Amino acid sequence: MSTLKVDNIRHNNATSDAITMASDGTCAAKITSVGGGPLSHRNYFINGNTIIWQRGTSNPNVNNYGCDRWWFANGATRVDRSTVVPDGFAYSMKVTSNGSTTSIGQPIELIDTGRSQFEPNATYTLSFYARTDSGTNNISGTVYYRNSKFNNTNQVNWSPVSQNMGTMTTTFQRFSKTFTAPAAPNANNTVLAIEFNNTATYYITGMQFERGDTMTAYEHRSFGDELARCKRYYHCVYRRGASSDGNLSIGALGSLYTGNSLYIDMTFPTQMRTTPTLEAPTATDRFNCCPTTCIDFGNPSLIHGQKNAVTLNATLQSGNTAGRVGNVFAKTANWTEGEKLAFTAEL
Amino acid sequence: MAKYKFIKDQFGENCSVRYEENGHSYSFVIKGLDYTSNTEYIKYKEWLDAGNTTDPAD
Repeated sequence: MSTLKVDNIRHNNATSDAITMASDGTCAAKITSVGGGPLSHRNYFINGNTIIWQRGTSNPNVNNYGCDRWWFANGATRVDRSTVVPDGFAYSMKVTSNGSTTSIGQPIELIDTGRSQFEPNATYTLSFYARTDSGTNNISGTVYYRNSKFNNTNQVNWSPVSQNMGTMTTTFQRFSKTFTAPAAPNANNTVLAIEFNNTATYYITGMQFERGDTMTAYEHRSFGDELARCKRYYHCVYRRGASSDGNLSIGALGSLYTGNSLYIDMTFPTQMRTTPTLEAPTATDRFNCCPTTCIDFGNPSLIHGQKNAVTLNATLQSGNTAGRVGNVFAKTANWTEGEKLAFTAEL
Repeated sequence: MAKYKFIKDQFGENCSVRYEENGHSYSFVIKGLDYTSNTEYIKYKEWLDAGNTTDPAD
């Protein structure tokens, strides 16, 4: 047995050490992959590989959100799920631009208002894969703490606040830049807002934001893991696609407070960020409840709620007997494509 | 008609508000736990602070 005694290890052509030894017998290493695979628990983004689309995959737009957790705004006229991808990815987000400043971004929830999980004055690396639909175009990355994603009151910039990430071409490239956290967020900040801006239609996936000054292999998480993380911010119970799905359970029981006033209790699979907003079709024939016979209703309202559960209220189209309960179904044959029953607690 | 309308609960109290847009209704609570950081509630509060008045419940 022998011991290799060195202070540091560096590639001949590198400008910094890959492994830095400490006199206490420990070391710090810049490891970018393990056996070709990613490290874990690195990526602060949720749905960085754009696999979750609860709002729909073709130009969904619910309060600026299309692909889960990624907002779009300004010159971004639509987003669509795309199979134009770099190797190792299933989907990308196609962002269609009108030629003006085209913005997408993700607000990363801080642990609490004014309380950040990001280490003061430490470096973090932003990376992603992108290509244009045609031609070339520069893309920038911006990082700052904000009160909310579109509100610059009390904004605290990271350093630099914005960087040109590089020039996109019609071939996928991986882009990377390092940002340094400020000493602290403002006491009213709730998000770390990260944005990308450009002026062309493009494809993007594999977004990663990680501790350190070195871009590592993209951290793929399971579909179930990403979906559960997304459901803290948006929970779609049902979204009608191109065809009917028959009578579909919404996973809730309805009870008649009066002959036609129906209360429906629902629990969430994941605790939501805040007491959510209910989004539901306004038409009156989208659901039915079956205490003894099935009775149509629609246009429910959220009437009581907290982060784990809610109560909805709606009026039945014909009366029954107070106190009875019945299964609640979405009559999806009556729904139009894109109508949805969903709860949102987005930032 | 105002943008927002109150919803009463079974106790007769205004417990949530709703508005409609593009064939969907959006409703959220205005009392209870953990509702003040709902972005729809924040927009509603700004709307109220601008001097607007919510329509009464049916």
